[in-house]
Amino acid sequence: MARDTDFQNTDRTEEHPIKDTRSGLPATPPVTAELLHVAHEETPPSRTLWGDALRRLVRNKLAVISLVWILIVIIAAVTADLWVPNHFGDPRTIDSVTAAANRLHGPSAGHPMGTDELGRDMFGRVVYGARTSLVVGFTAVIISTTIGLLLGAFAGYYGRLLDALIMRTTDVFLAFPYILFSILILAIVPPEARGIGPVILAIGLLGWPTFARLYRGSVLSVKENDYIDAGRALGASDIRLMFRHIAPNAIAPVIVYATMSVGGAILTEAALSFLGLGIQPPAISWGKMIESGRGFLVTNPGLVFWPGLAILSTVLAFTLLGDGVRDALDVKMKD
Amino acid sequence: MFQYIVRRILQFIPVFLGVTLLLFLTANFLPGADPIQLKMGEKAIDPATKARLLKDLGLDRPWYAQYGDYLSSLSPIHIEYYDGSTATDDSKQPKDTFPQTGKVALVIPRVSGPFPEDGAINVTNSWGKVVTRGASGRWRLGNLAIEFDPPDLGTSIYNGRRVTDILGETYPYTVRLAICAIIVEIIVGIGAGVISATKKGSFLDVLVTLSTSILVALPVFWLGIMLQYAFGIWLKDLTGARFYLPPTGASGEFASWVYLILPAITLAAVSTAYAARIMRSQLLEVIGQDYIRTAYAKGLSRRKVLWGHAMKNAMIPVVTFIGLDFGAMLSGAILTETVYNWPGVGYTIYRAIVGRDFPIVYGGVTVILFAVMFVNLLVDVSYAFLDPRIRFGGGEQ
Amino acid sequence: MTEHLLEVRDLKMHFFTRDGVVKAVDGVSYVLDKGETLGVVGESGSGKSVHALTMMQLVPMPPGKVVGGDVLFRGRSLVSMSDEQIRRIRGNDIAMIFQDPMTSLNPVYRVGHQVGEPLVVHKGMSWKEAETRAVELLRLVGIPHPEQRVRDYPYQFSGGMRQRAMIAMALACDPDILIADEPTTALDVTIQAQIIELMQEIQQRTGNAIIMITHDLGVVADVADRILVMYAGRPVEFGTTDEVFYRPLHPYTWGLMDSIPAHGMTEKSELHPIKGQPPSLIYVPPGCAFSPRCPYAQERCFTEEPLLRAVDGDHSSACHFAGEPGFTKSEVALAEVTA
Repeated sequence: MARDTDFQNTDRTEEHPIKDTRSGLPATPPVTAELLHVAHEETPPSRTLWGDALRRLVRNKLAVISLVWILIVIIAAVTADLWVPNHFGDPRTIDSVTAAANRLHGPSAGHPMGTDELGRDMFGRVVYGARTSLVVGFTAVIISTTIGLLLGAFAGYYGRLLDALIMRTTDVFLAFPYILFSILILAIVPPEARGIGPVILAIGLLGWPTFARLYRGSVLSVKENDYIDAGRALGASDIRLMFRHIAPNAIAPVIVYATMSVGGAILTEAALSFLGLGIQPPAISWGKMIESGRGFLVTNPGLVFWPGLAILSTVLAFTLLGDGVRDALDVKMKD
Repeated sequence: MFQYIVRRILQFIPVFLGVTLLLFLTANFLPGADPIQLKMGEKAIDPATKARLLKDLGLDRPWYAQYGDYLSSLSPIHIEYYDGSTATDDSKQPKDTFPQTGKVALVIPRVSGPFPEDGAINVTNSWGKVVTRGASGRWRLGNLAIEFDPPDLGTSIYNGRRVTDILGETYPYTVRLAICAIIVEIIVGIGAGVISATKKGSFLDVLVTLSTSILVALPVFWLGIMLQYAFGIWLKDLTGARFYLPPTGASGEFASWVYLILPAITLAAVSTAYAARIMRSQLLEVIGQDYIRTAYAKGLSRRKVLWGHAMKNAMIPVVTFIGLDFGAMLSGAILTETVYNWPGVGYTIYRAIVGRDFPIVYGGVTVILFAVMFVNLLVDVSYAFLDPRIRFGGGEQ
Repeated sequence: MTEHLLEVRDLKMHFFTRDGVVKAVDGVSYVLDKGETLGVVGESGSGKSVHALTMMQLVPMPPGKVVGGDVLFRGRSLVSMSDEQIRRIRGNDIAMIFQDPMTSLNPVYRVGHQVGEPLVVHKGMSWKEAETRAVELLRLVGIPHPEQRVRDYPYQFSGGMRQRAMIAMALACDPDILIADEPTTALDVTIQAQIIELMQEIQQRTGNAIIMITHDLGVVADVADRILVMYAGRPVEFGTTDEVFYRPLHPYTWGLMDSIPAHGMTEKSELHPIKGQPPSLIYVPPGCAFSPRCPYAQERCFTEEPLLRAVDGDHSSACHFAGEPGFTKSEVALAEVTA
């Protein structure tokens, strides 16, 4: 409330006690000097932007918890073959002998999340489902980010006609109801060809416009800096300027958005699989699990609950990590 | 203001053309089962029947002819030149030949035939399709006719019904659901945001911040199913089955609104969380502004400062967000509508995509685009109304 | 003892932050009577604004806390009033004008609405009456065509006009005290003079008291009856304007005076800014807070805190050496030149 008052000035020093300019004073009180000294010792010698960001990220509890959770999910998914079949039975195959006896069991020591309608262990299926979600999430975002960065860089760097062309294209893509478009693409794929590939392509190819716009805006503001002119005056080529000089300074918002987008891509994959257009059985997907578990809602709500919780926790982790990265990189983005 | 609206409408045209073109290209160039086969099911079709069906539906033409036909049918106004030839004397011609439109001369199609008397007439248009002209009137300028027709979106491949009729039935469901969801969003989103901001750091604030984070990460269809479980199964004895019935089976106006509650909550959940977050951050930012201190220094009570001075500023971005979100909801909520078997436009388009009933897809997307454009325009106008700096063409700031 | 209009008694406002206690205001006292103008001068961080916000209870609490002293308005303690009681004082008995007229008016309300608002709040006027009165107020502060301008929004006003509107708003309820917090800092020099002149004019007409808070001694030179110089939350010199200007008793005041561009200065003449930075209010230097920057500091200054004491009648200073023969601005300067 009391902006521009004396309080505010001291408030600013509160955040960066080291940057206080008291060191220039002739007689610094001993207490202060001591504090400053300690603070300096804690500060590592190199203070780069990325180093700073990492340090801030590590201090953010929610972001660290999210990161840990994402790592747990990744490790579980990668190593699933080593432990899931041994302990819980192979959730990818139907054991025709025991299927009838094992179907729709409630949670027990042997099946912590119970079994599904074909006698497969739910916990194992949730773990294997993570594979699909993570692969789709990461690759789709890599595709959108790559396309978006390239087009955004060209639009921002060259401007004029190319810029107008790319930006109007993003307008068209953004005006199109996103999920409808991905459904359209997937619906046109013949049922026998459906699966993880088309899903990745559908999500990846539709996600680029936001990345392009974000990066374009960022490039435009970085381009104004004197060091870009300096680089050009020194004879740097366009490509060199774009990748060596502009990219490192313009990429922060894209990193933030990409982190959050992994969660978004996982959600979209789940939705498409839920609609029956995404991952096809016997491949395991959380969305598909919810769809097939729906028929047993009255007796076994766990068939819907656990995969949903898996989606929620993973997506939440990516969102919170994205928030943390945003704060750490000090990027201003719309909420 | 008027100029601004006109400019926005003009800006919409290229976006509209781009989206629909993209739609036609995607639908026509990707491989897939053909619609005739889908329509006929497993039955074997002899090639001659299939060719006739394709011709009847106009699907034998190249995609650009179909696209041109789509755009031309969409327009309520057509200008045509009747050359006055008598080639189409009804008594001499077979019943199903119509005045033929020649190649497009500059921009005005030339129709060989006499200038029609009053009333609608059937014409084969430049894209090779038989269309009705002048159903809503015709003005004459020499041999030029300006003809008025209701926009036509074609007919369903599957059951031959007019797409406009199908959308006319389903769109009200979408609108009703969107209105209910937006009411939830306004009340809960703004309410939670205000509480959270005014009690910053309190338990309630932490609760709001936490739950908005969770809601944003929630799979909508899962939330829908879980709500169905909670109210339809778990709390069944408490609530009866009233939340959990298909809307078409609803009897009486009140009942049909009750069924809306769960779908509306499901649809609103994610955007409510966003609305609350925006409200909170905006209010916190505004509360730190100098003019809020001025308002306190004038002797206004906390309540008056909050609701009079702070909210009026903080609401501007929130209104924008909620408005745009309402537009998005009018695009049909495929997931929510699917989970609740809600016969809205999203569900209809989704079914049409899966069934390759492309006229419904094209028509549905068209209606959505116009609805979204209209809502966005309203948002822009209300934005100008809320923020005087925009209304009067900006100041120094 | 007669009751003063405003009496500040050893006021202490501290902020309790994560990094320590910020002693923003640390023992300020003065009295103000009807029709008087008090100038409060100091650098940013000297506590001059916070002390005014404290008496209006406009400091966020927490982290702020009044840890000592009192402010009496007509004998009633302002700092211990309830929200409702102080609300009735604000804008009605004591009104405030802020530094930045660009951001101090609400962008979404018409100027007339904002100027008339105090009348609705305090005098029970209807909005229509208030707007009529707002036209008169705007005319009073010299805004041309006030009948039309009341319908304008703040962004349609220039900076000087906005500050005039702020003054009109502050005057609406004819307050006893007008606190002007850096009222001219954000304005052009010519506009500055106009605003100061306007405030003087209004004071002559209404007889209200003014507290003029500024970092610029030049601003208060012509208007203030008395001047309080603050440094690091503490008063360092207090006296009539003549006393402070002609016989300043504190080296900090000398420094402030040297940093005013004087009449007849050419571009080549040097300004002498005070060297160094104001101290952190968390770690206020022991002894005299100004000692690290004071060119005349002796050993005693680093250890022993000087208190504000009367040196010459009511003219007081918080310097150990104030009043000692030879320790005046001109004599010290002369000594420097000859040395």
